Amino acid sequence: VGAGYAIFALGFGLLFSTLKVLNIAAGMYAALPAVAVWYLSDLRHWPFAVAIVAGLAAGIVVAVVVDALAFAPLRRRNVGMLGSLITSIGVWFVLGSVADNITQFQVERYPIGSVPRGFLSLGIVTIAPTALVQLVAAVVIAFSLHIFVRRSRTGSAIRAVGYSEVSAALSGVNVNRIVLITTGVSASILAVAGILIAGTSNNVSHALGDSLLFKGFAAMVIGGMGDVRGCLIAGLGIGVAEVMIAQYISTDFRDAITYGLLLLVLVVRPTGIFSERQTTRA
Amino acid sequence: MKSARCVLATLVASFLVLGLGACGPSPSSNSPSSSGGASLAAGDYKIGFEGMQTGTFAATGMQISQGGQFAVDTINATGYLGKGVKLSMELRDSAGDPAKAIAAFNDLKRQNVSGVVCCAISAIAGALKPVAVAAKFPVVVAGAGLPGIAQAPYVNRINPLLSTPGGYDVAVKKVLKANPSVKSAALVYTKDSDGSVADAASMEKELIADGVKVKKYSVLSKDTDMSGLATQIMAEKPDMLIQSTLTPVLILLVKALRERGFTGVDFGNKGGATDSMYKLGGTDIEGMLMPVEYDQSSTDPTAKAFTQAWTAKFGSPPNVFHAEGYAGVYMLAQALKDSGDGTPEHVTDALAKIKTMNTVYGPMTVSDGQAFFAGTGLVIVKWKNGKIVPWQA
Repeated sequence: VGAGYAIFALGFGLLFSTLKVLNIAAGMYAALPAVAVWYLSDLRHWPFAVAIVAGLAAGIVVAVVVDALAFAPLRRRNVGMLGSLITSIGVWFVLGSVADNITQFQVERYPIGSVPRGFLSLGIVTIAPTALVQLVAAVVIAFSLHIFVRRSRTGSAIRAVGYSEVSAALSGVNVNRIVLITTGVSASILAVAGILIAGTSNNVSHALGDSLLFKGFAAMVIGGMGDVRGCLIAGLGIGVAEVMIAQYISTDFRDAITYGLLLLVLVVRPTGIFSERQTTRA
Repeated sequence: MKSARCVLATLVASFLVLGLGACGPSPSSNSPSSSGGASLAAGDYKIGFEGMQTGTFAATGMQISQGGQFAVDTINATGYLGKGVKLSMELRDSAGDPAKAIAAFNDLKRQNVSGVVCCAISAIAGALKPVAVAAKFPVVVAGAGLPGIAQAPYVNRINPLLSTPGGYDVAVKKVLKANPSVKSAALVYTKDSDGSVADAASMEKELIADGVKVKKYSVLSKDTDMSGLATQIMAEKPDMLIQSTLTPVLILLVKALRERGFTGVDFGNKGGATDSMYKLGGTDIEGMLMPVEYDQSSTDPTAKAFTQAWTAKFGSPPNVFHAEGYAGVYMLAQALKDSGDGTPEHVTDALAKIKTMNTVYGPMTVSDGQAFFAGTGLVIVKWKNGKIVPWQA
């Protein structure tokens, strides 16, 4: 569970820390690629692997187009975070309607046989293959993103734009190009989160994005907005906490404790538990 | 050849429609016991239908409204309301939102409908009830399971409460009797659905009465990842899973448990008895026991006629949600027929006089606006090779 939240938080955090948009539509950036994979593999009978690639591509295209149509004009007018937030709510509804109409308001699942079932026994640990893939994906994405953001020239430019678009532009950074790259990278990470979780939970629907959005947002805030290591640890932590709370306390308190933790972090350390390095870096 | 097939199909459809008129909800079989027998003046009449066409529960809402529209078509085809009477249905979307449902209700009233069929979920029914009572406007609830919704003469409910005789008292006992080794049960319910909570309380009461140790788990209707809950349930090793949850949680949890090797008794609910849920659950939900009010293999004349006519038109049998819309419209149509003029005031009076009905759920009695099983009560069905079949203990 937590690996999915972590992957989502990584994409969401990158989007937020660089573009300064609390993009509520990010949940749909995860759900729509999953819907596309289902549509292409189940209804159009494309090979599952091809459908996954197409779903990822669709997710990136949707995010880039949405940014160009909805958020870029706001950035140009320097509307600020509130205007972007309201716009993203509108985008959320539009993309949700698209997902609903493709699935005909049903909850769908990937074709039978396309997702491995059962459990793997790894020594003392028993784990579902889908959960293992999700966990490995979370670690690989976090590591790659960390290297990309901290060690590459483009990563430096992304951090510069995240700190100040004006300063970055004055330093010779092509801000529009960096925004495009950030949107694409974020969208691809969010798409991976959606596609993987849809396979693990047998749920391809608009609701997939809503649930990811709230838990992924909590992971991003707790971990430190834009901090790769923090998002990974917080996402996994929330997933583990959810299961443990349900197991040893009550399912009734599951969400209350997750969001209580979010509130606590906001009060005690608003920048997130692991945000120190990011602040220094910026 | 093609035209010959068309003629044959038309003849078969006509026969079935006539058959429905003969043995279905006909004036003789469906009239309220205390009806004055007034006939409806010729003309066009409208009823309102508040359905969920978008939103989380749209899939269910669309099936219920499809059942309602089929009832209207059948009523017109069979002349159920009398000579020269044509019925139409104004459909409004509540999107599962109580505020939108109230707006839809007010809009329907402005359209001069004779009454409104509504409320697949308890949240909508709970919101509309005081509005309908204050407006003194006739409403028939079809679907929502929260106790206390009916308030005669304005708010009537055609679907029986599952906490009343013939409901879970029958179904749970049957299953436990057939599975005497069941000593512990995991009871999962949707805590943000009042109807689910009420049904869960009823299930728990029956389980405890039979000496079963119950552990309760709650989910939210928006929950989609069942892996954590499934792991938690598996750790407790219950003999039985019993769910008062909404779809898709119902199916997703069963799938997650099956993947983890759960082999106990699986007691679900009517939400699983639709083709779309079978598509989602596949073979994992084969064997899940589903207590339903309407059974497509029922030999009850009204249910049988409905099943045959629907199958002839759509090529596959109806499900329990289609039946809900159908039953709701027929209850309102019966009152409309007995009202004499179709005004909401007289329809309300006629609804108050309905004491018995033959419905697709079998024979029912009506008391203070609430329908109760008068026949066998809930029927348990299950999926077998992609088809719904009656469960034999």
